[in-house]
Amino acid sequence: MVPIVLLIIAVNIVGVALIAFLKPEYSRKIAVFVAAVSAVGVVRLIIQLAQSGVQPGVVYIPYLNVGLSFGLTGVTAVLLLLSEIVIFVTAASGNVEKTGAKASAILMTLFQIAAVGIFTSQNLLLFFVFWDIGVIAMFFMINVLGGENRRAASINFLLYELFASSMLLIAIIMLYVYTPAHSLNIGYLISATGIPSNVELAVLISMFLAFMTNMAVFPFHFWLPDAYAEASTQGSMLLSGILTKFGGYGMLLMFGISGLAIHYSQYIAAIATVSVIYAALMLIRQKELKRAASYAAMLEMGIILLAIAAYNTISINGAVYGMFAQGISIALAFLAIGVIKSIFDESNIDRLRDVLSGARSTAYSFALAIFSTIGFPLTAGFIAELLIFFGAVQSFGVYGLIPLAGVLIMAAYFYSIISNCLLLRNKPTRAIGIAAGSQRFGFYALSLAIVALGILPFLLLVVLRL
Amino acid sequence: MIELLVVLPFLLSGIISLLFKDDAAAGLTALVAGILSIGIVAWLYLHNPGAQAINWFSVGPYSFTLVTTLSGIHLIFLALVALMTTLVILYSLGFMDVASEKRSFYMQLSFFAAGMMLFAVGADLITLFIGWELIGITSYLLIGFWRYKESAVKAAKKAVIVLLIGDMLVFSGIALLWAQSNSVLISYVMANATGTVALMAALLITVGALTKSAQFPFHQWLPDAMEGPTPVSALLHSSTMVKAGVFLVAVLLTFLLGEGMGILLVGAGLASVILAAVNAASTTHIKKILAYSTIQDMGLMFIALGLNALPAAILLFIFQTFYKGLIFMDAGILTKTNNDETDIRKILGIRRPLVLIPVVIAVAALAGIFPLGGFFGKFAVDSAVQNYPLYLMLMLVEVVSSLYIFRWLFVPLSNKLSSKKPAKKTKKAPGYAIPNSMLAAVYILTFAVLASAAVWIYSYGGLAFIPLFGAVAFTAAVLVGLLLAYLLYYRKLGPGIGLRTALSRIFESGGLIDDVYGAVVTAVRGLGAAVALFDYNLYSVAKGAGYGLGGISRTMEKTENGSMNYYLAAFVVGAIVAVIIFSVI
Repeated sequence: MVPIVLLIIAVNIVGVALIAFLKPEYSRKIAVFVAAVSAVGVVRLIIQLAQSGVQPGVVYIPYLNVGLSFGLTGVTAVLLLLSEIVIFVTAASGNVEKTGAKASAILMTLFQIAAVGIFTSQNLLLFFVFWDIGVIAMFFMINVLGGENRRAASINFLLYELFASSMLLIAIIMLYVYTPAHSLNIGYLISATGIPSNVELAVLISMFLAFMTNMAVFPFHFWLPDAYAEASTQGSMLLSGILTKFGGYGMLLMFGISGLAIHYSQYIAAIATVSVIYAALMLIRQKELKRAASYAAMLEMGIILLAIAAYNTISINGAVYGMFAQGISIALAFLAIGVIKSIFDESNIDRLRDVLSGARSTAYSFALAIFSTIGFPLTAGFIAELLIFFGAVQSFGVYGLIPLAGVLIMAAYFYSIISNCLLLRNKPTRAIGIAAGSQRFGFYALSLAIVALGILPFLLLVVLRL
Repeated sequence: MIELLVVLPFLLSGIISLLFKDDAAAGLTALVAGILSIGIVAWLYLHNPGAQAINWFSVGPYSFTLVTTLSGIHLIFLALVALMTTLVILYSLGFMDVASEKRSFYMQLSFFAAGMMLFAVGADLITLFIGWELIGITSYLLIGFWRYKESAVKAAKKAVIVLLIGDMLVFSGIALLWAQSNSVLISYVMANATGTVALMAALLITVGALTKSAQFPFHQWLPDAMEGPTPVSALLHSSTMVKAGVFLVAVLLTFLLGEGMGILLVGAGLASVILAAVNAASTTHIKKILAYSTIQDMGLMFIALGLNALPAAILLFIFQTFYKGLIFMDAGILTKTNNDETDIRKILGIRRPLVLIPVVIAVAALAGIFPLGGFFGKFAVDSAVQNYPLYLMLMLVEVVSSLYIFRWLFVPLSNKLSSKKPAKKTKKAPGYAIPNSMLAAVYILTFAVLASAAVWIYSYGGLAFIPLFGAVAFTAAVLVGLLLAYLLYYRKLGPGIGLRTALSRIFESGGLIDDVYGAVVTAVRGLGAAVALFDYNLYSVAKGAGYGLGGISRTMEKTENGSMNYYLAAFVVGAIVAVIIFSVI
């Protein structure tokens, strides 16, 4: 397992170097190639997992017992697959804004290293290192390639993420000091006992703060709308599709590591519910397509936190399925919004009209992404919502259904967006371009994934069960 | 599983219309799909395979199965859907005459039919829910089909949001039932659901069903939905899609009644029946009168279901499909030959025999003239009522409903120009001749309306089973309505057209119910504004803390001014302080 992961990372590093030294016109090709190679590597990893399971890693700091160990479980395999799909589609669909192709390709490839590392590392210190690589890559993605207010948004993002990583570091140090074996191996930590209960509580709180900030759960969500809205289309796709899943995976780890978490699951679920309703009420105030999609992403992460808090078989499967479904659908939504912006030079809900006539495939993709986000049957989002809410009811009874009110508000607002912006042909907005072939490839790939996972859920559940 | 075969033709025709950009062939493809699905329904009827399950997916120890069945009401509904869809497609071949619209119209209609058939064969709640959502979304698209009309898109939006509430309620109910016993198979739920959870689930599902069937207080989307093309009104918003709620209640009837939902069903049904009668008597929109009449039909079915008279409800369920489909098709012919005029006072050309015969038959069936289907359906529901006040109320409603539907007929008939060709009066001639496909569909349906009751009577062996007193009372009510309509609207003896009452102020479009909905929307928006303000302030606090830290940092900066003397002085002071502290400790 270790050689393949290292190989993927090495290919990505070589890719970064090549993109940096070659002319910008090669950037996208190299990024796509590197992403494709990484995807093949990931598939190979999953096959290996199916055949033989996790392999122990190589120890590189014997004194601290910190190992360069990589492994894979069903959950991380799914998240890894998600990252590869989103990164590949992001790279392949190209830079919608048509500026900074080189920087974008470099940062995307760098981010891929982080994603592959974070979901395979079997050691919390490695996890932390890759986490920060990802955060830094995304910081520059916003800072260099973003919109008008990119500097403020990127600093804001960085501050929140730094808070998260410092909290994570505190938790890691405490775990290292107080575990009997002084090991940060995730497998060990999950089975370890003997941590004093007050330390465990402190670890739990700092980890929860770290991961909830990354997941953009109220009240630590302020980085999200600005970051998503200001980032370039590719940046938004990666941020919404993958970065928030770091936190989701972390939450799952937290529940695994700390047996105490389950005692507080009701409070965590309450926070998640508040976050969902809050995001829904913020969502209906938005007049900008991208900001509306940002709050939808926040809302979905709240639902996923609810599922993790419910912590039963069905809801955990739902949470992982939901992260996958939400990742591909929100990435598709951001891609479609970016293309709409470039075709119509307009993204205000009050002024954008009749996208369907001007850009057919874009309108279909946007609608499909929205349907998946609100959990419409025959899309991936439906399976996720089914599992999540069935699981939530199992753990919390009727109260587990309260977040559906948020989903209802979001869906109502999105239906009015679809009616006014996509369908209404009264005073149509003039199209000044068409969707490029590469962008249409992105639409088709992600739409296919959404529909396939909505009709044949076992495609993903097979991987999840490994 | 094999029942899913029936979904296939329309699924394929939808996909074909989606992929191949051929406007001319889209309608024929859909028609072929319709005929094929009728064939499949017939074949399934002869080789009924019983309930079948496929394992959709499983998570841990839990498996989610899709179960289909063809027993009883499922088969009836499926057959009605297949028949009506095919007839409406035949009708649409003539009605939808704008070439650029054809492809997307038949695509949406095909997907609707596929979803509707999936819903009809579903024997577990998840399968039903998938079909339920599919018909909701295709209804949304079809109401807003004429996208250049702002009113149409608005109506579609309104409909989908009301239906969305129902979707969430039904989904919540399903989740509760599943959590109780890890199964949502209908037969299992009927036998095993108990306790508060079951009560709550029953309530959620019942209210959800009321939204889909446009019952009080969720009725207002249906009259607005008349903005859609008339074939859509004839298929979705009268005879199939709006019946989904009734169907859902019917398949879960034992469970819902066991949880005490009967009173809710009767109450909502009665309120809907009354408001529909009041509204239909006051509006002059040719399709909205029929829409309110649909609300009334659904209300009658809910009353029957609430009184545990399933056979009566099913009887009306069957006959209503035919007469309501037919009368909508007639309305489509009238509006189409009148340049899309929708006011019944301005409709011309109703006296032509080609038009008049099916119209009269449809109106008579809807009013409940013996021996047409409407008589048996409505009469069955009325005789299920054992409660006198309720019975009297329903009789009164029958008078009004007979009044408004004959008004629908007599107002255009009394028009002086009713026998003239409207093409002379209008600016651009839309084609006075009615397309053959439309007439074909209308006459097939007329025949079905005439034959259905006869077939039914034959299968029950004569008329002996009809209680005489009830039948006479019912017929008397209908005839009173007919007489009133004749005097008021044909002989023009009364105050004329405006039959606006105090009740219609409450129930009509733009009335009190709409105000309530408006208030709810405003409240949610206001909540959003409040949250946004809160968000802004909280963010300001977070930012303020950041600025504060920056300020401290800037103050600290001043101490690092590079002056050696300053540093030295600070060092000495610091050393003294340190010595004092250490000595004290």
